[in-house]
Amino acid sequence: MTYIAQFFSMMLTALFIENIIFTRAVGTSWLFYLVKRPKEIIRYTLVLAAVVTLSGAIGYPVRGLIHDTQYRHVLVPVMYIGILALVYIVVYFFVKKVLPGQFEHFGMNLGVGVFNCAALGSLLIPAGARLDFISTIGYGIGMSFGFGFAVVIMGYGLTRLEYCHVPKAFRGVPIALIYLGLLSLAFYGLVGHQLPT
Amino acid sequence: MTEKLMFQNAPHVRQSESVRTMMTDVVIALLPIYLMGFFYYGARALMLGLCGVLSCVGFSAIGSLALREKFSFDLTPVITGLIIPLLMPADIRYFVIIAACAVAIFVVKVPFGGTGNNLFNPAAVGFASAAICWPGMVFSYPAPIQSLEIFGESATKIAQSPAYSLALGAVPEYEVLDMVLGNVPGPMGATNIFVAAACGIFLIVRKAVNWITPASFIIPYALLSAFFPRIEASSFDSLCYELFSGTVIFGAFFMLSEPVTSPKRDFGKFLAGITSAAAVFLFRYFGGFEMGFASALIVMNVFSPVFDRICEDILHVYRHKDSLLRKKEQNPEKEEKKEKAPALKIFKKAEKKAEIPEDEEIINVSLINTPGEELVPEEKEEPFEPEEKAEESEKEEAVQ
Amino acid sequence: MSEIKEKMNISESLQYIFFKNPVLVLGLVLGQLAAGDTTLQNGAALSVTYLLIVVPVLVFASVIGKKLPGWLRVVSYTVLAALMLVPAYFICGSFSATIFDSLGIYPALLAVSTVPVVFASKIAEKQSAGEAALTGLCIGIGFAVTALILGGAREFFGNGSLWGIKFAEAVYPAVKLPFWGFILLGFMAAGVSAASDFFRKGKEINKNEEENQ
Repeated sequence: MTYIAQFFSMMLTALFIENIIFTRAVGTSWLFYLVKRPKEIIRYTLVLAAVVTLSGAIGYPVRGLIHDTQYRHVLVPVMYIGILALVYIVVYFFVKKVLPGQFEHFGMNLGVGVFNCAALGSLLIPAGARLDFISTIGYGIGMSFGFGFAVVIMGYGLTRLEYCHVPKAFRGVPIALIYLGLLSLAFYGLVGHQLPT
Repeated sequence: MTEKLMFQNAPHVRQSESVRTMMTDVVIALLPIYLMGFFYYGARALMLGLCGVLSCVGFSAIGSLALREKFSFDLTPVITGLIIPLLMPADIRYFVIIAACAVAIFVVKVPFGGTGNNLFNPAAVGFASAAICWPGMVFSYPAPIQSLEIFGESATKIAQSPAYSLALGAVPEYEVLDMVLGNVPGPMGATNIFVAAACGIFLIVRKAVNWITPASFIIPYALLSAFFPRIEASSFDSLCYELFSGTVIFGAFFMLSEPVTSPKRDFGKFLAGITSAAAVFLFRYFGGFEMGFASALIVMNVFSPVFDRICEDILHVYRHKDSLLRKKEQNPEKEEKKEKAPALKIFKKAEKKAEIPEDEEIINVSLINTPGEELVPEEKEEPFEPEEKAEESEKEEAVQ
Repeated sequence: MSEIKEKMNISESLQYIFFKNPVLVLGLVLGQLAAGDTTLQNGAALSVTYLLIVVPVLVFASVIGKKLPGWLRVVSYTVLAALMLVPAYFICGSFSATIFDSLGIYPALLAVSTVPVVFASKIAEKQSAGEAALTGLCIGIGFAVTALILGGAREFFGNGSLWGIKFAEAVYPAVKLPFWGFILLGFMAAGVSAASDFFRKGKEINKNEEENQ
């Protein structure tokens, strides 16, 4: 029971208070890619959650061996990218053999779905904070769904922006960045005054 | 022939009054609060207001100069400049006000296209940015009823505002009557609950503010704080303390009901009011700062287009309810079949569209292409975005 | 004919420094800059890491990547990028020992950013090795310019120092927070778009004049 409570509290923390986009600023370019394709959001969020859970579970025992060494700043990311590569190969052939219909939809795009900052960030942040196994999994899942939540919020905002008389120099990337900055300011008020690590 | 339909953003006014008179009403309603500030803290309160107004108007003039647009004076920067000092302590330094006004104008207003286009409340964002940058200055308040020096810093500072002790989980040591009259340390204007509420009612009578928004915000907030008290007190005491501390009442009348950032339909305003009550309550309950209202307001501003959308959908169903029912009564079987068939077709089309041929499309990470910008590097096989293709072919023609 | 083509390619690659700046116009590596690039040193470390990742990966993609099967390509690029973090770690450690501590997770995220994963398989595989190297270099320089300007400005206003040497009081400490990073990047992007509009207009006027003559 305590494990379940721990799991959900970590998940909600990662979803709202330490949202991957708004307070950690991880995976923004991937967010801007998905905002343009509303139909793909659910699918890629699920893929992200699955990949993060799987690689978090594989990486947890290995992480214990290396996170006290001197070169952990390099070893931990390299290890996690290796694990992501393994997971990618497994998922790729799994989808190709078992779900050929899905493979037609996003076969090659799976590479971008697995190797992105959101996935690696959701693995590295709990590794840096040295959370235990349950928390690591809960945090990863929360981060993935927080990512989907952020994409939906940004999508609504950007559709509303189309009705504004935005000056010419600010159209496109600049106004989206300023909008994102103001949103993360609002979430920062919730967290309080502390820098994310 | 002249165009019959004009596209214009909020605020929409349907009486003989113009936007200008509406804004003048808001300015008039803010002045008594400044008088109360003068009563409690001396002439420094008025100087702070003047500083805010001058810097906001000046910054918006600079902004329109930088964009090479004609500067048209309106009262919205004046309102922003009047609200920001009222949310701060009376002995705040002048440069904090100027910085907050700069953020409010340069970040929130100018890039989005000026008056009528700002998606966020400028005063809320300006205050929130100042509070995040200098929390020590913004959240420590002087004791009321003393005349502060106009320039320079005052000596005594008291951090124990009612909102702060509520955030710590302690019962505030002030009486409710003092809190209503504003005789407690706190933000310069927002503590004067009585005057703020009176000015808000004046605005409602003048129809500058729709009564739905403040009502649907304050009543659920009061209920929430009565049923889930943060402190060990009776539910009525908790209600009074939560409602009269911080910037809840002042913000409900002057910031939440701003016509540009709130939803357009009445039902949408009602939804927005209830949800922002819940959001403010959660932000104050779990948040790290005592400025729950400002950041909750910014988050709620994001959702106001969502509420607009929901209202339009509901209204559409409501208006066409009769005709839809009639059709079904006349020939129910055919109708069902008809409904099913095109839906299936659309679904199939969507599936076809979603098929992404290998390798293509992904590179298009560059976001939200605006016409005329070649954000997409070297991509000629673009099956799903015909506009860009057309542009590219135009360019090729131009080159040839 | 081939010479003209090469020239076209070179000018296209050079565009990545300013008119197609990877951060400000294409919007690629935003999060790492917004959150990690708080001082000039951090900016320099991020730029070095990015250059070390981008150039080898793009060259590798143009030389070997074409011959690999589809499923192995993305994997090999990303793993190569991750391995390039090792030399970056030692080079950055030479000018500041604690730089990777203060940067946290953000340099590692550069390895899975868009350029190694997507650009490599979309653009570099169609280019020759030299072109790919030039493209990578230009992308890296464009990134470095942005990172150094942003980091310098944030260190100056947030800490009152430059490259760790303090000479003034901090003016606006909050500028080091991630949301200010986003907002400042937005304003820089607006500046770039205004400037490129200005140049484009100048070019069009020149063209029109030539046509008239």
